[in-house]
Amino acid sequence: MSFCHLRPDIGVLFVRGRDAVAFIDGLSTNHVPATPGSALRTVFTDRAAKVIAVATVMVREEGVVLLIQRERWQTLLEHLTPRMLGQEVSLLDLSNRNHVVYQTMPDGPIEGTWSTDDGITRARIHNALSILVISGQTSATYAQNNEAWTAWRVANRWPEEGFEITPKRHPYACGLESLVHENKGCYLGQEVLTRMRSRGRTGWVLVQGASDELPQERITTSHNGVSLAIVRTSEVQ
Amino acid sequence: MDCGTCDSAPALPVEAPAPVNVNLTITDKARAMLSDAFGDTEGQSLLVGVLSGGCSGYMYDLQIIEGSEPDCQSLDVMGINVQVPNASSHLLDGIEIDYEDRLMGGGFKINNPNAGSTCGCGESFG
Repeated sequence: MSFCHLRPDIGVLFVRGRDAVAFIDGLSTNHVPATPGSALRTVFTDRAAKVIAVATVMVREEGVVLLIQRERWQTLLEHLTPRMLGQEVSLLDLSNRNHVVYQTMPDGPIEGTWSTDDGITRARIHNALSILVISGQTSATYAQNNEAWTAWRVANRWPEEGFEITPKRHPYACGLESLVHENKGCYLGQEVLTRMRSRGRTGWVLVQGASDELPQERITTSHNGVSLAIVRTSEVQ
Repeated sequence: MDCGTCDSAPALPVEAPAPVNVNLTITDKARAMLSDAFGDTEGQSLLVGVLSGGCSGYMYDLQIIEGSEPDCQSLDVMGINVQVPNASSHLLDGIEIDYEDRLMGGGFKINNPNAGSTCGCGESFG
């Protein structure tokens, strides 16, 4: 069943300038292509490969739009701004003029791309999920749909900041392994993540299962008897 | 998405570190290699800058350029003209540019007293 879920907790940061793609690509785990129209997610990590913020990325001609959890906003800015140096990059906060909405089972652009129609930008970042960035000037109204979103997250093993994703975890430990590109060049945290992957030792992993079969203290999200949990890799059968 | 006023919207304020008057040294070996690289062409300079990225967060940017660049400090170091961007001068004060002559991992190296850590390949620091 398709539903929409308003996300007032997510802000819109526009990284504008000729060097924007290289700047974001050089500081995050996924490969950010220079092709306008691309949509993907990536993770900013620190030197120890701990998560600073997860971002949805939309590549435009003039730069890169990042959708960021507001709780992580300031920390991410403190991470990015000292590294801007002489590059042609500036940061604009577009949060107040846009709403962010998640839509499951979407129509619209193919996975990995975004498109805009009537003030609504749709970024397809998963085969069953699009993120809509809606101009505040449109008349469309959306509501938060927390229970349906939790059910979708559990069914799709989708980690969320504040639940599975925290600054104490690295991407492999919280279900973000698909956002760690295996062949891209260096970025902050890459050596640690590459070592974990090559040795097959990530320590922790996000799993989905029946709530009564998972260690209770490891459960992060539950819905209707099914849970997400972060368990030691040695605990996974 | 409302991006119609992106061109006029103010950028978030970024507190850039104040430029530092850079002192740097070049070892004899590095100087010889740079002189070789410059050849007989007049007016060439070595640009020493820093970009974001790399395993440690910052990457060195070494280039041979014609003339000088805007917003750069122009230094004469042992007869070599060196351009250092003001934007990254706080990360480059006190560096030594060296050259290591090895089959593997050789080339220009930067010894940087401002670096808390350095990537194994020497191209990145933090």
